[in-house]
This record gives sequence, C-alpha cells and structure tokens, in this order.
Amino acid sequence: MYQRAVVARVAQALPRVAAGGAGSQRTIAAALVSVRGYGTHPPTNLHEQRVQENTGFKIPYQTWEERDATQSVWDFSAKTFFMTELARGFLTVLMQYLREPYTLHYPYEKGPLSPRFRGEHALRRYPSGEERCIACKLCEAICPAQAITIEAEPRDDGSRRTVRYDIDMTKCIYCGLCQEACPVDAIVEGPNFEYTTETREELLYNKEKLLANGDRWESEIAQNLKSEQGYR
Amino acid sequence: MSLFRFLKFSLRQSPLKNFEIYRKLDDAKWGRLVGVDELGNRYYENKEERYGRERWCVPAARPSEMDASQIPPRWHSWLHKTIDQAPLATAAEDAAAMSRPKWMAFPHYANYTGTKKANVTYNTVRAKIETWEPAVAARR
Repeated sequence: MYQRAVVARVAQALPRVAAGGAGSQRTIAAALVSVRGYGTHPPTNLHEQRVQENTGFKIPYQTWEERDATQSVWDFSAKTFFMTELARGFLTVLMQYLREPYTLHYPYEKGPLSPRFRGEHALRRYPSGEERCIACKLCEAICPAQAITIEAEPRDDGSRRTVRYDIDMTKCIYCGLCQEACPVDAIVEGPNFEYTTETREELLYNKEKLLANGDRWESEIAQNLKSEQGYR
Repeated sequence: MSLFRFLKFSLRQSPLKNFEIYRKLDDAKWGRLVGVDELGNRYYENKEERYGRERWCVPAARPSEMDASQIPPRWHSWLHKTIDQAPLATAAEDAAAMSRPKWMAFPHYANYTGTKKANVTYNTVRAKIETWEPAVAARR
C-alpha cells in the first residue's frame, strides 16, 4: 500500500523533473529525491517563511533617495501638513484610555474562591455561644510548622477548655491540617484573606482574637462547611 | 469599541451616578442592583460583562477610607462567586430572615490594622512562676 502511494507520487513528480533533467537515470533519481519520503532531507519551506514576497509587508523606505523614488511628494506633503500621524497617535491613546481593562478591579470585583479555601484561622462556637474547642491538642500535634500553642485547664463548671490558644500566623503555612485534625470543627481556616497588618505583632493571634474571627465569619464558615458536608 | 462602551455607560445613568461610579470604581460599569448590606455597600451584577467581572460592589465608604475587608461575610462569598445565591436584598430583610445568635458580630467590621483598635496580643494564662521582687534591705 505504502509502495503504491510512493510510485504514484514519483509518477506525478516525473514530468516536473524531466523538464530540466538530461538522462532517464538521473531523472528518476531526482524524482525519487523530490518525493522526500521518511528519512530524507527535510524540505526547505521558503514559501512559508515570512519573507517580503509572502507577507506583502514592505518597508516604506530606508534612504531619502528611496523615499523620493517610492513615495509621491504630494502624499508626503499632505502627511506633514495635516499632521495625521499626531492625530492617529492621539486617537490610539484615547481608545486605550477608554478600553475595558483585562484585569479584575480587585477590591470591588473579586476572583472566584472555593468553599474549601484556607484563609485566616477562626475558632468557632456552638449556636448557644459555647466554644467548640475541647483542648484535645490534635491541631497542635499535627501542625507541621508548630505554629499552635495550647494550654488547657478545667473550667469552674468542670469542663476542660483551653486557657491559651495561640497561633503564630507568621509561622503558619496554611496547610489546613489543623482543621482536618479537629474532631469538633472548632478550629477552621475561614474564607478571609484580607487580614494584612501593619506590624508583625498583630499576627500573633491569641484565643480572644481567634474567637472574634469566628464570631465575625461564622455565617460564611457555616455556609461553606454545609456545602462541603458531602465530601468530608 | 471602547468609545462605544464608554458612551453606552454614560447614557445609561444620570451624570451624578456616573461621577460616583467613576470616582469609586475608576471604570464604567452598569448593572442590576442585587442588594445593599448592613454597611451600605451596594452590590451589582451584569451578566453581559466580561467573564469574572460580572459581580461588583460599590462601597459606601469614601474613596479615601475604602478597604477590601469592608464586605460582610455572606456578601463576601457571593462577590467571590463561592455561591450564586445572594443574601436578601436589604440588610433588614436579611437580618429578619436569618436567625443570628447574639454572639455573632453584626454589623460587620473591617480590618482594624493601623487604627487604635488594631489587634494587640496578650497572654491569656496566669503566671506559672512567682517572680522575685528585688528590694533593698533596710540599712542597719
């Protein structure tokens, strides 16, 4: 099958080569070369290159003599007199100024965010207001950056709660292992990432700050957890 | 096309509104008012906008006091396209429909950094050691 195709192509190429060829041996050899099967020399693709003849692009002139020869003196005078280049330049600037930007206008338009996004930490509460954290210290144990510090004591009513829950946000790598380790969904990484601070000290979160984060973002955290409930 | 877009925007709304939008958003935008949150931020949607720019917020704060963290939680998730369902149109309706425990922060507050309310960390446990208080012995 392949051979038959080659023969057909050689037959097609023969008259073309024969026009300039002398002997029959040489003609057939040239025809075979011109078919260019697998493994022969790669074809020159001059016809595809971006040369002047193919693209139609023409450099207006490179010397003043060339310009005088190629361009009408009236065209040149009109361009100079009416300053059309200047006007076209201004038009380009104006259109660029009014152009719709390709970027998001960030504080007012925000990019898509997953409900699983791991942002600022928060300590959640039960709807009654009771804090969820039971000081099991699993998050502290699993934290690869060792950013969490917990100390626990029994409370007045006998329940065991944390007295210290510190997260060093400058050490945290936002891996989300703490929220995966938590058996009561107390520590979560909320959807907020706009908590930049002016000083480093503000990023050393203690328990009160984490609970305040939870109180502030609970409605959205609960929404995200609910939507992810089937995949946990 | 950009000039066409600009003219289309300018003729959609009154010059006063256009001035506010240009001052706050720096861009020509028009769309359907989806709702207003408890801080007065207005949320708009226009499906004809370029992908990713369909939803936006016109903040209530003055341009010098605008901040990205002024958007309250559930509107935040709508604006971030986490959910399609927006909170109810007005803050009063939404508050009535949503049973919000007292401990939840309402209204929303922005990031306090740089102000007097900025987070100051402190120790939440009582001291485990008794510090030695140096005192000068009375001269005999």
